[in-house]
Amino acid sequence: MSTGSVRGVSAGGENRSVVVTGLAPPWIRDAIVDRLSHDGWRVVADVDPLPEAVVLLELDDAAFVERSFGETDEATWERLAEAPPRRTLAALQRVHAARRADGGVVVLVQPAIALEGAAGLVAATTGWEAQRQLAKSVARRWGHEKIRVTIVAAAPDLVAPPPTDALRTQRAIAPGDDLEVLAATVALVLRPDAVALTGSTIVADGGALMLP
Amino acid sequence: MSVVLVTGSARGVGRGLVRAFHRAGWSVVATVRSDDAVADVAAEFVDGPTEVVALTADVTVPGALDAAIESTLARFGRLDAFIHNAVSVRSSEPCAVESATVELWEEHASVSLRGLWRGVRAAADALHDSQGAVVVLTSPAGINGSSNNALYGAVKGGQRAFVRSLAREWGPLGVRVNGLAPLARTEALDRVFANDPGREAALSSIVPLGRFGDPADDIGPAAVFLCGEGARYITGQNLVVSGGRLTGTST
Repeated sequence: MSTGSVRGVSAGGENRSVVVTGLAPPWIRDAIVDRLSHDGWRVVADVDPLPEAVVLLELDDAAFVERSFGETDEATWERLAEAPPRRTLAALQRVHAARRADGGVVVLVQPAIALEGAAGLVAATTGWEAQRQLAKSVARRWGHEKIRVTIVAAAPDLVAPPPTDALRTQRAIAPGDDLEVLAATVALVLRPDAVALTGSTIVADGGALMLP
Repeated sequence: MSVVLVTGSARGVGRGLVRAFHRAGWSVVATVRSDDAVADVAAEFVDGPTEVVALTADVTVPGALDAAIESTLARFGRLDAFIHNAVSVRSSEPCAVESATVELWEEHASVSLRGLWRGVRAAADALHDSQGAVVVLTSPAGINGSSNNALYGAVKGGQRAFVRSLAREWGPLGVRVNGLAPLARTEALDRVFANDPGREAALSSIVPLGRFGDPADDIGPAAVFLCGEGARYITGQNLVVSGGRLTGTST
């Protein structure tokens, strides 16, 4: 796959460093790492020191387990609705502390399901959307420090355990059954010339939602 | 006679909602966080076509809203709408997100997220019985983000997804769930304007209708609509009542 360039700006990593962190099944993480490596990024495992690019995955398998609102007890609510944005807050604060002098880029990867909601996933979608809004707010606040924060919202059935009714989508195009399309979208927003992308949500779902 | 319970009714948007529902002929249970405000709310509504009952119910205290719902059913025999309006007392406080503490996050979340979870759970059976409605007071900050109040924006964003998902889940049960994002002139905003006289004109100039909404006259009627028969086919939506301040808000 070509990585190309636009007006002399590399589309790839040019040996810049990136860390892929957060919660996700290993095959999703591996797909993203493979793509970024292919594009010339140096994928590091350590967050100390924090590299200039951070891919923050919020694709926890457990969040996709359907349960009715009435069956959602306080511990589940805490784990799915409140702990994720708290976790993202801490991660974003680490980015700011480490990158405020030199700038950086964060890509928050989450399922697109919260954009339309889903029966049985009230708590999880609340958590995902709180994370997304947090990312938008810091993108506004830290833009002048050249810290970009972008959200990639992935087709739910691409990143979840076996799709359920709640996760069914109607795509305009079928992106295929591998994770390359998601990884390619992450690589796209990491491009050094994607400077106009901050606070935006890129919905990588094959045209199911077509938002905004 | 329809019955609504409004949380966070002591002042601001909540108090305006109580006034609007009262005028529209609803019986209202107005919950407030502390005992101090009960008498003040009750005193305003001693006359009128319907009853307004003021109760203390801190949404962060387990069981408080269950008790308020029990009192509602004991007094009126039904509940047709539940409105989660309560927000943290620190909700309008500017916040440097890069140094925000976990304690501040918990302050926001305990009211706007866990308080919402508690309240809707407490009201669930009554709303299923009445085929009623839930309205969550969200915010423009939870739509476009907020550079100076990121934690508030985050919890308000989370509420929007709560609305979408619960609307899908409870639609088959006949219960509608919507959000309402107001741009309202409240007592807190009045204090800001009093301390900075030029601020009002500056902020109002970016609102196409040229002013901030009055809680009772501009915001309240929208909530009454969302809870009423005229909105019986509307669910899972977030109605922005901002004088045109926000127009491109689908995501």
